[in-house]
Amino acid sequence: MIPVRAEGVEKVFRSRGGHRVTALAGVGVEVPAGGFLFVTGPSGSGKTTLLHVLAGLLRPDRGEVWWGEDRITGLPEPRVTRLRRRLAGFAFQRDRYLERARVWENVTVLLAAQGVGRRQRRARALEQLGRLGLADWADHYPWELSGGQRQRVALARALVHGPGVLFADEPAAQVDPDTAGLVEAVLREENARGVTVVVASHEALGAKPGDRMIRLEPSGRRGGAAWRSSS
Amino acid sequence: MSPRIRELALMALADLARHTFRTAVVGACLAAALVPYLAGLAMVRGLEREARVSLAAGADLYVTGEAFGRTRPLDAAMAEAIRAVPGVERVAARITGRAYVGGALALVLGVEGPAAWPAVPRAGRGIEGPGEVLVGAEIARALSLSPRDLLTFPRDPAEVFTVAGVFPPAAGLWSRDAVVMGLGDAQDLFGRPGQVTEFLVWVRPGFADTVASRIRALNGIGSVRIQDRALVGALVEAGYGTSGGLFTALFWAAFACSVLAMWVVLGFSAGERGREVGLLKALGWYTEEVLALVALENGLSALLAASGSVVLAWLWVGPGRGAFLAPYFVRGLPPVPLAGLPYRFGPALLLAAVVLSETLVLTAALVPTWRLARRPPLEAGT
Repeated sequence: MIPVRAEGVEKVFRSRGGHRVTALAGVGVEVPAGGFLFVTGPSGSGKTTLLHVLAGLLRPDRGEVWWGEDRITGLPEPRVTRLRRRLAGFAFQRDRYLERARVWENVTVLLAAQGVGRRQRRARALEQLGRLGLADWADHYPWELSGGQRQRVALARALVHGPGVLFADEPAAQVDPDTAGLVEAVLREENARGVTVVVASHEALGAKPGDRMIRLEPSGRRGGAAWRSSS
Repeated sequence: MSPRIRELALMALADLARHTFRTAVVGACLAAALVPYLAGLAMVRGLEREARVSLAAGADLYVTGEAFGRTRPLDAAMAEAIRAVPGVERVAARITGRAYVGGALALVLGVEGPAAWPAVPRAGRGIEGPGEVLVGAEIARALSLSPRDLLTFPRDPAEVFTVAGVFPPAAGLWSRDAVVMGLGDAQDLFGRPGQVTEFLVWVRPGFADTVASRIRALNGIGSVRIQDRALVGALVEAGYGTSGGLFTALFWAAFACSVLAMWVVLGFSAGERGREVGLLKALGWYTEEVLALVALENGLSALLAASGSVVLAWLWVGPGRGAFLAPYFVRGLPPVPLAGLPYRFGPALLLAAVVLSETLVLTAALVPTWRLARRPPLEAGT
């Protein structure tokens, strides 16, 4: 069970044309160990950026991010990778796969680096894919799947090594209501086991009492205009 | 082997199969540079070895006449004087010359006595009397000669020889363009009765230097050049070392072109590699694991390419008879020889193939991967 905390997070992207786009300005969030946080907001409001920063995939320009007692924004890259491998799972919104590997191989790619044997990896992949209704697609390639199916594969990959904190970026954005319910059920199951869950989505559909929520609001696009966050 | 390394190796193997185009192009680039190199050097080593074997079976001293820094004929009668030198076991006179026959420049060997005759297999029979010759495979092919055919030399059309036998292509490099005849016939052919080009002298062990000094001091022999076995060996080695060195220089030029081609190919796949590295890092792979995966994948690729290159090089110099390559090492050979030149794939050559491949591919693959793997995951993937 890992609490996640961020204070004063700022992130500015600089385009090659010299434009500055402020994605996050002074965002602060806190999720207790075993908590459930929704990061909501309209498209382009910085939800994905915040998730990347919280997961240690992106360094903020300012501010701090804590996983339990570890201030990951102050750690060198290899230490952050080590922590992320041990503690975190990340389900990407965009297509991020080993394009020429099968679905089950994509799901267990981290386990391969940990030395888990092929048979055991496949079993664990099938277990996670089965939970998300994709067991029959295990031997397909990612490009043979629909967008919604690929997002569920990403979720299975984020869960397969048993993380303490799960970051899921729009995990049910491209799926029908039934499948969205399945995805939500899996997230809730994980949360019930004590996994801290951080979900980015347009709306906090399926939110329950006790869940935390932060809504990101854009207040401008370029020229250093800040984004406003509320919780 | 640790489970991590085993799984990484298996994953690398699977990656090789998945990226068939990349693997094939890298392999082809390597093979394009390595195969001629391996084939050429294998030939050099083979020729060198054959020369050494011939040398070991040859005479201890080679005595030739010298005038104004060039070779001159020797009086054949000096053979008796040399035989009388203490320490000499055997002496054979020989004529080595070049003469055109039917438009081809042949090596004419005039030899005396059975001891000096090359003991090699042949089609037909040996020389039994004057006017008979043995011809090499290339000469026989060029002139469509077979046993019992007649042969004349343009320099003395009146003298007609009978082909007693033909050396097969595999008889040895020296025999390919040779016409072997009796010493007297050779003297007549070149119009030098009573003269020879050299004496081959076999001596008792340890007597080479003494005998050489005594031969130089013989009355009537004049100025002579005496080469012992070690000196001839050194000359052989220097000769093949030069052709091997020239070939290596040419190889490096081709190799540089191949490196550029391969780097271009790897550059094309850099985007996909970057996405893979970024993803693996984002999922929690350590930098060293990413590097190990890439190293294993490319190491296997290079090993496969090196092995394939060795097989292709062997096919070239063996069953392929060193076509279009052999004339570079042995002047006068046709582009496609009747038989291949001797070749030798020694351990050093095989090791060089592997080391070159590995160095090249790993450098091309690991440097960009290392740079990518040190960046934050999302930057590496974009």
